[in-house]
Amino acid sequence: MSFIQSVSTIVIAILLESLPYVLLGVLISAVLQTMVSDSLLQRWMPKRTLPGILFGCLLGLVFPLCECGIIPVVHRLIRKGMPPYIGLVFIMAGPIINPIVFISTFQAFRSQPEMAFSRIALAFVVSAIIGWIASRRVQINSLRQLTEQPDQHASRSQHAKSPFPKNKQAVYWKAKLHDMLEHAAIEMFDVGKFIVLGALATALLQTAVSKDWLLTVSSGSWTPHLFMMGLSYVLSICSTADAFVGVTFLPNFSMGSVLAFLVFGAMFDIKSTFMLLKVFRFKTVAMVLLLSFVIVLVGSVGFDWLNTYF
Amino acid sequence: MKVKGSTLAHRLIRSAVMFGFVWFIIQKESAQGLNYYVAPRMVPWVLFLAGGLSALALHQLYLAIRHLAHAKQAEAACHCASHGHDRWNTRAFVMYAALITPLLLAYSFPDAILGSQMAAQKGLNLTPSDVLKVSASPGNSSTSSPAFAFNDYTKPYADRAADMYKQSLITINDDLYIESLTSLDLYQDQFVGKKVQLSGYVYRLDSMNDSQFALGRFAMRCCVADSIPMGILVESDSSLEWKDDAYVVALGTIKKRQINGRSVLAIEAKTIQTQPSPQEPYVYGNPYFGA
Repeated sequence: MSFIQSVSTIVIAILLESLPYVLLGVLISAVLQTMVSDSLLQRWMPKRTLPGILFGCLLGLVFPLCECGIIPVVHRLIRKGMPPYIGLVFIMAGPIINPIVFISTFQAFRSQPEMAFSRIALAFVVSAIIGWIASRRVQINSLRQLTEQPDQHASRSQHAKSPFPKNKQAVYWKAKLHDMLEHAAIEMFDVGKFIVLGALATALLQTAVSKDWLLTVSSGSWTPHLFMMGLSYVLSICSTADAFVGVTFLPNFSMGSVLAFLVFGAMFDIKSTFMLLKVFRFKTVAMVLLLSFVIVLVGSVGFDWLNTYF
Repeated sequence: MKVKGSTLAHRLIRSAVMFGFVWFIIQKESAQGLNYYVAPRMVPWVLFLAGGLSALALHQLYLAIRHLAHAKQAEAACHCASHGHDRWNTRAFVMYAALITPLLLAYSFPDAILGSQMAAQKGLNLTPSDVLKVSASPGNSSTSSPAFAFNDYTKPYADRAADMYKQSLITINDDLYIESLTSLDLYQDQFVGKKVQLSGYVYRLDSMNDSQFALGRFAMRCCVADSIPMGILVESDSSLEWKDDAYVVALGTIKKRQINGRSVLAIEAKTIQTQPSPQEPYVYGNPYFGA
């Protein structure tokens, strides 16, 4: 099987695996867009910072989506007036603090149940810290597209009741349905292009970089952690399946470095960075990436330290 | 009306690209080819994708046709800013190019399973029980037949080992492939000298000598991107006759060997025969194992 054929197989496989979740995210986003008005959504949102952060961290329990599905939803929620820091926390915590990912991590690390719990705990700590910093720093101008602020569809729906007489209600709903479907199609393409770019990068890396080479960096107290985070970033494996890949590094790499792989890679990878750049400005994304990198690194090295001494 | 014409073109392209994906999925599903890309448990999701995309594609097509039919009548207008997308600029071209690329790849290559080259690249796993040994305390070892010591986590593997040990010829099938190889590896010493029959693809690593190759499969969770090659070393005088990626069955006695400083199981093969390719290109964890 030739190099290009392996690449092609992996690209198509990643697309077939992730696009269903993108579609689900896009559909939820389209429903939110058309059915939930800005003012209603803003009434649901916690007003104060700490409940806001907690809300973002736990939203994954209600929307158990992986990163592919989360971004379209967050994109929409922020444009409808959700505070950006809550969106950011959801993007980071959602792919990890959700029941599906917990179960798959638990299954993969059958003989190390502490991994599944540590993964959630570290993800929570990292997202909460970033959320706290972001609540002070990241303002609405950290967003890229403000053209749709405030959301025009929903505002139209609020004012619509008077201009549309009763007998036109059906026409109105029909128009609304058409809008919803067309937006879903447009968003599918918008997010889809990032997924394709991420899948191509992942496939090229998997085919070009050998694991023997990876094993040369498995010793040291910081190197393997740094390396595993970098690896999880470029591999871009869905957070529902990455535990099964992470576990294969265990005999050679420390538990902490595998934990770093599980947390950092699920929060950020090539395709999600592309997608984040769609929502936030470059400077914001770079800051968030750097900070999370440092916190995950310290947390996972600390995990190894605790394992050795206690 | 230039803008309207552009909207029409965008709708037609979106519709065509989505139908391209849908057609690919339908074609693969009807030929049972989806398994070359994703695991069976993902197939319902892929079909959901096909259903959703075809609905969106049909809707785009409908809007395009309605647009043509009532060209004069004002569009049921949606004035929101997302329709800024319906312009022709570099971003639009990049977007369509990005989505058409995988379609071109999909239609230009036949289905293929990852092979020996990728097995070496991804790191062929000859010691699949490693993961069970890390931090698994020796625990309450009990004595089932020839002492398969286990703890809470390795109990299912000890049970599997005891089952296999009872057989005069240990035959390893697709439905417990991963679990059986893991059990054999976990209890290497107990199985030395037992007779075993294993089928798999021929993989070779640089660290193997001329009389050695590995026989194994790729184990998949969700899709090819997370698949991991695993196998057992095979030794035979006729080793070189068997080409990489051939699907064969080997029958022989279990020995212990050293590869890259690790002790691994090896089959000293008495016979090796070619086999028709297996029905499923990949192997999957058995969901009922240990339940």
